[in-house]
Amino acid sequence: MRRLLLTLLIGLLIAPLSLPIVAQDASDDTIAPEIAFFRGSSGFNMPILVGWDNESEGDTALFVHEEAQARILATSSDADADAATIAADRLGLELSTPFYNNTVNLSDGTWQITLFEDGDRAISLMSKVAQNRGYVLAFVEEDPAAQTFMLVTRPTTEGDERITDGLQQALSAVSDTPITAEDIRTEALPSGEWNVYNGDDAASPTVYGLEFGGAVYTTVTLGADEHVPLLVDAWNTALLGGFFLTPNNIEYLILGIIVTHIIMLALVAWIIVGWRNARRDLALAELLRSSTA
Amino acid sequence: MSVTAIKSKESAAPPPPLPSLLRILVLTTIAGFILTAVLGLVVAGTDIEQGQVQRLFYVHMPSFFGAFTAFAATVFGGIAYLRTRNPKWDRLALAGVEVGFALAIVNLLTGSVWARPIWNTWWTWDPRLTSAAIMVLTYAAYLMLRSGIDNPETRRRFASVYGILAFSTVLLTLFIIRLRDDTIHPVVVGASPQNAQGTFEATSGVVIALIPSLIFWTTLVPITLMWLRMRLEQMRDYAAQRRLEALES
Repeated sequence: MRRLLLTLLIGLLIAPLSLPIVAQDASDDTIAPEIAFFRGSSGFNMPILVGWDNESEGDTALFVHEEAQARILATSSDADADAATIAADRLGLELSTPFYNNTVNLSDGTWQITLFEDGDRAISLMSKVAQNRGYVLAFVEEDPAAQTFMLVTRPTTEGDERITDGLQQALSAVSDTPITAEDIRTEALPSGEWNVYNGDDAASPTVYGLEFGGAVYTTVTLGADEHVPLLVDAWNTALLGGFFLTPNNIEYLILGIIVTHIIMLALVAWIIVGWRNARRDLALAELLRSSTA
Repeated sequence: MSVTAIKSKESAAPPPPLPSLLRILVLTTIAGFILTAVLGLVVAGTDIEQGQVQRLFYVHMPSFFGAFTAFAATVFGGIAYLRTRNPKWDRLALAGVEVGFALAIVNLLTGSVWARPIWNTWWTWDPRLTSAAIMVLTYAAYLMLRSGIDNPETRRRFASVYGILAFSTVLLTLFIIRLRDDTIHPVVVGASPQNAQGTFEATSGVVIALIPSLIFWTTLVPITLMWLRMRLEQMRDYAAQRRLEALES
């Protein structure tokens, strides 16, 4: 029995030595995440955009597409900092007064949407405050031939009119062009089936819209730009497809550790106190025996 | 304790001095506690979706399997006692229940603390959570009922049968998430109605923290604590016997 226990103990001590091998096997065999993420030091996560140059560092995710002349940025700041100032600083831009400002409630919080126009440059900002930090997502498009803006709208109508309503709300931010349901077609992109408004001619604005969670994620382009589907997909991947915050819940981890320690220490204390009491009982019994003998 | 309570056919021997193997086990358990804490809190990366609270995983799941080991020892002790009527097997069964009960409480409470930020509730009547609660209550009843029986032989026989039957609640808790598809509790290893592929997906950081934690909580913790608890029970039995002898003389 003693030999068996000794063998078991040695086996248990040797077992951890195989861990690096097990871990190596696991990393080879298990399924890696389908989308690689950039993780900001402040706790936000952003999908790394495939086909875009990754210039991310520190607490700023920055993806650049030279051909499309576009940049997508995600960063964080103090909660009371101005989102536009922070984004402009990280992008090396000077922003004027926004021509569009709105808030939209999404499943992950209330976002402030701000649009800027600076010559050939179109800038779309989405910002929110969460976990005592400010988070900014920026889309910058610098193609002289076109201006592309990213918005999220929340339709007020129901049924089939929702998409039309969502696209119209987005388009109204930059143009007075009316949209009817008959003007909208669908287009399959890698990120999903999008509703598209093209207008009557090449000079008309183009609006892409995808309904999700009660909101319509939209892209509005003024002018001709062959890269619009690429930009739509990239922004959708960055925002809808994966920008999220790692929750700050360390207090629950501490609570769990405290609970575990209390229970295990209580069990050990119960055994120690029980042992002392039993020894005292035994001493008493021996005293009783010797006194009666 | 009444005289009836300690009357028994067998004579208890005093527990031997602390064996060197038990000393090694205690030291190894303390070292294992520190090692697994470092692995779970430092080496393993932070889960980007769940945050820091996910680190409770390295205690939550292994503590259940530690309870499984202890309750299985109760079954083994119960069967051995019914076959041999040797009280040492009853001591093993009792030690298994007490240690397993503590580990099951750890499992239940760490799960509840984990659920609060992730599921937005401390508790929900999910099949897995419900079966785990039934398991804990079943073994709590074991301890209460056992203490209510004075005659040692009756108590041991009853406890042996109860301990064997109670293990069904452990199996129920283990397998219920593989049988019911209306649970929100994840299945980590193997197939389930929600995960038909039955794969174990984990990064190397998770594996290198989880495997030592599983070894630690499933073997070292229950074996060490059960051994110490058995010695305590042996000492109690011996003290009770000596007191009875003193009273009879």
